[in-house]
Amino acid sequence: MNNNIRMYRGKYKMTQEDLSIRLGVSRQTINSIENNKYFPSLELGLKLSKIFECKVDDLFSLD
Amino acid sequence: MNYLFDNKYKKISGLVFYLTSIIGLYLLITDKIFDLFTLNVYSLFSESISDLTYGGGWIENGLGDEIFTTIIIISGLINSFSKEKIEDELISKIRLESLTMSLFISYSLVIISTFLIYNLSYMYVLVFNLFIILLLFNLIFRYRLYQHYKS
Repeated sequence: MNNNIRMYRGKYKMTQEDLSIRLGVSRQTINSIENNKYFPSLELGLKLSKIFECKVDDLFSLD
Repeated sequence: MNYLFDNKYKKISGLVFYLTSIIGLYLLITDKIFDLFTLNVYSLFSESISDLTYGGGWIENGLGDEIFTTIIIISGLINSFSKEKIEDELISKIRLESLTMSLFISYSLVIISTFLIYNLSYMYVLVFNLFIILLLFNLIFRYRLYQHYKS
């Protein structure tokens, strides 16, 4: 699974720290998601799509 | 509901867990642990657990091993199952994976010991296994968290 979190974060001029505070997770968790080391839950995916005002499909895609 | 303890108990429980584990192991090796706090206690099986006809009764017993066992298990559980400062889903995943790995390793050790250690010595393997599951889980979880926070 791939994701565009880093791209969207750049678009919204947010740091990993900013995003982690809004999601209530650690900065390291955002880093793990961006580097495809961890695939977030549906709940976190939906929260991300709400923050970046896009569909979950735009953020995550299957290989 | 995640059944975890508050983060404020993590440091103190970790200190107690490792300190009592080291002291307990030392007292066990030197055979001093059974002589501590000798009292008359009620025992369900006063002579031998294999001979139920003896029944319960009051016996004189050193409570050192019982006290250390209780402290090690309670502090180990609190330390291993305390929340992190930011407890998120990745931490939960790391905790679950660490617990799974520690169970696999400790039960593998039990299986190996079953075929290599016999008679009364085997009882020691089972007693040690009580603590090894908790100790391995704690160490693996700590190492995985260290790697996580380093990233």
